[in-house]
Amino acid sequence: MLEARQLADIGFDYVLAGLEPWSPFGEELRRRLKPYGKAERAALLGEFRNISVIAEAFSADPSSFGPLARALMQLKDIRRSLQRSRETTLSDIELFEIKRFLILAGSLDEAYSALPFAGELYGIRIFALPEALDILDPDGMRAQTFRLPDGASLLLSEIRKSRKAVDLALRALPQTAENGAERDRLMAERTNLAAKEENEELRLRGEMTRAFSVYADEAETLIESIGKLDLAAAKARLMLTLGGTVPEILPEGGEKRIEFIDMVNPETDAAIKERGRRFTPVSIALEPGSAVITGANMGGKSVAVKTLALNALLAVCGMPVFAKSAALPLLPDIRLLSEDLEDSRGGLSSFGGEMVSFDRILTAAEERPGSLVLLDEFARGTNPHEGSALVRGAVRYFNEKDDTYALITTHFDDVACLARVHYQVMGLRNTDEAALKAALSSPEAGKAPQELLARFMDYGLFRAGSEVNPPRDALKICRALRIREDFMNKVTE
Amino acid sequence: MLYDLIKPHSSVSTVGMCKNAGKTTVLNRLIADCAAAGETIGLTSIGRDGERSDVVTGTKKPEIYVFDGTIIATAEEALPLGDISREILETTGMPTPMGEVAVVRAKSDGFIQLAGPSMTAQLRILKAKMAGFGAERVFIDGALSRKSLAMPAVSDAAILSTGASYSRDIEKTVRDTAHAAALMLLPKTERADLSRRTAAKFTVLTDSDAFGCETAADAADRIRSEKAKLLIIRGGVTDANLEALFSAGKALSGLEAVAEDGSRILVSEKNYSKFLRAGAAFTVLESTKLLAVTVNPFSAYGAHYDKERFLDAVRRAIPGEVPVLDVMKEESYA
Repeated sequence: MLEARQLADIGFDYVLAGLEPWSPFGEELRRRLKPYGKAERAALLGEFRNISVIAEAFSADPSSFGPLARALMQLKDIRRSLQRSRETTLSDIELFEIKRFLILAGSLDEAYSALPFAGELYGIRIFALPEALDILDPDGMRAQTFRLPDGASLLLSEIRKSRKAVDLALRALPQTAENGAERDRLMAERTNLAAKEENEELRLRGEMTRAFSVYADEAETLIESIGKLDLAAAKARLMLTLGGTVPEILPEGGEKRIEFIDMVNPETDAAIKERGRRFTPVSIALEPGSAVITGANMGGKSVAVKTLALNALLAVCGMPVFAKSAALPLLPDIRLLSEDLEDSRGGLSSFGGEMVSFDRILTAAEERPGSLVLLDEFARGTNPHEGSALVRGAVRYFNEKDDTYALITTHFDDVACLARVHYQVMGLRNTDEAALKAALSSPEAGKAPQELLARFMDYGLFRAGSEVNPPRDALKICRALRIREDFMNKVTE
Repeated sequence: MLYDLIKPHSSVSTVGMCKNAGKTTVLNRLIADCAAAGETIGLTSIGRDGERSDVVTGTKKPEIYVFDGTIIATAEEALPLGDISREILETTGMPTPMGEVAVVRAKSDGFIQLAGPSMTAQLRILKAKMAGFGAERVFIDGALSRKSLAMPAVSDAAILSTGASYSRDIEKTVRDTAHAAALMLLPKTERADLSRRTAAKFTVLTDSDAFGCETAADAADRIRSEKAKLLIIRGGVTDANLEALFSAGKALSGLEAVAEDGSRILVSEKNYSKFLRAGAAFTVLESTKLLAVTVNPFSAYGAHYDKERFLDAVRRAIPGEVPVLDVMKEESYA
């Protein structure tokens, strides 16, 4: 799978940071989010169904989620105390927290039952534990506080009564020198009663803990469900906020394709929105074998690859994807090789590092049939002659592997002809040359030529014929970037 | 006497110059007085890193004696060190070295151990929580450090305790106590509009301009070149800051230096006096009210002071409007 720094780079961390579960249990699942394995297909499908159903209800009436949110936000993580209830006597603080949890479980059950999808969610069962609560709240007051009631035992009520009497006697005793001895006697008695009360409470808490521990398993099961429900609801809200959808996971042994229509990368989108532009949605359809993207420099090839990596990973992690529609198999692995991420590790040059990583990817792809392999500007760090040979080799290699989806971006000529699918970035292809020239000679262009160029660049992809070679846009772009005139004259001399 | 002083204030901090200055005696006196007046009070402390080992190992006997009904905010692990019968009201999620802060209600009289949070924002939340549980007045047991001297963000008023345990040298104890009191007594600036205008560490203000400066040396240059009479300092004011400001020389005369509050002025008594002699003066954005100074002539280390001489010396060193009391005469309940 993708490495940690790649997760940040493709915008995965950004999406995850946008998930805002309401409870500590949902938050923990968010932190531990990972791809679903082959054996978890049913759970993944169930998760997507949950997200859809919750999103539908949420968009219809967000306020109906208020009681659920309030109950979830008040939850504290009591799992350590649940575990301890099986082994030892819980403190009054722990019993307090479990009691609060059980009261909240009641509110949660009520809030959940009122929602239209209650009982329909996959793998989620929300329930109250009234019998367990009765143990921690023997007088049935359901107060949000905890104290062993006087009536918990005859001994306890007697100790507390005596203690009260001593407290009152101490308070009533005038603070004079001759009362010193009496005062000392009462203080000693007070200390003695405090110790007795503590012992009796310890005994009673022991009984209470043992009686409760029978329900610890059920409480843990409930917590698991609460976490799942909370996270699925957070995913649904994120999907509605950022405009995503639930992908279709293709059946095992069925159709073999990866197809995303109008994909967006939310992090890149947010960044360019700040500069007053919009992310151009990208559509890509892959079949097993090699696909190639060619196109202008600065035209968004890398962004397209990272956007695909992001959305494919989101899909296998049970997250909504940011596209109009998406269909893909349950990918067992996703690998991304991009030179800007291969900072010369272990003393290798960037080219050397890239090749070593590439070799590992080949092995991984062989071990996990059905993987997605993304190579961004593969072999660009070496001479064009051999670089081109390497890329052509990669295209042919993956073409022969009918069980790998490979997407390769390149500048090199004579590569696309070998690929099963060829995409090209629009780039400056449809740009009105005169308008670009006029804009570039305007005074504002001098300040930020990249921004100006970006406005003329079309970041969309189109499906090109296999005979089409990469466009020759490099010099045009240099001029747009206002590279020194005297140098450019030398280039074209 | 003490009770009359605190009566108008809904939150009061007790601050000690050192251990055994009589801070706990003062607190116990106040607790007993409030109980006698039928008040429900809330108690917490500003974290107590300095005493952590004592508290954790339990070698320090709890000394604060409370009455049935008192609301207490203290760390989970500090609870078993006391002996009150209690009701758990809330767990706050605020961490301390002794576990999370819990809010409990005393259901008997008895001793408690206070270990509250160390962040002022958390103390403010706790105050509100305790009030929610019925506390009519909140006492905050301050730590034994200059850092927590009179935090207006935390309490409206404070009582400063000093004693022979501070130093064998009575003159030093009196001088440093007077310095601490002076910082707590700094007047609030009359330029009420200031707090909004300052993002930089130092801001030098003239009638028409505001100059943000990152270092005290830059601020000193500005003060000299602009003949400025107003300087705002964000965060702590250190000896190094003052030493750099001294380079402004004569331009310091008539300068008003505004700190956020007295607890942020961390300068030595020597540099502080020099600053005043140069004709400059400190004011604060937020002030606290110093209600009283209490003195304890008995030293935990054996070098006691003469009772009358100590009381008299502190009285002379502290401005007249602040009462100076002998802590032993204000006897405690416990």
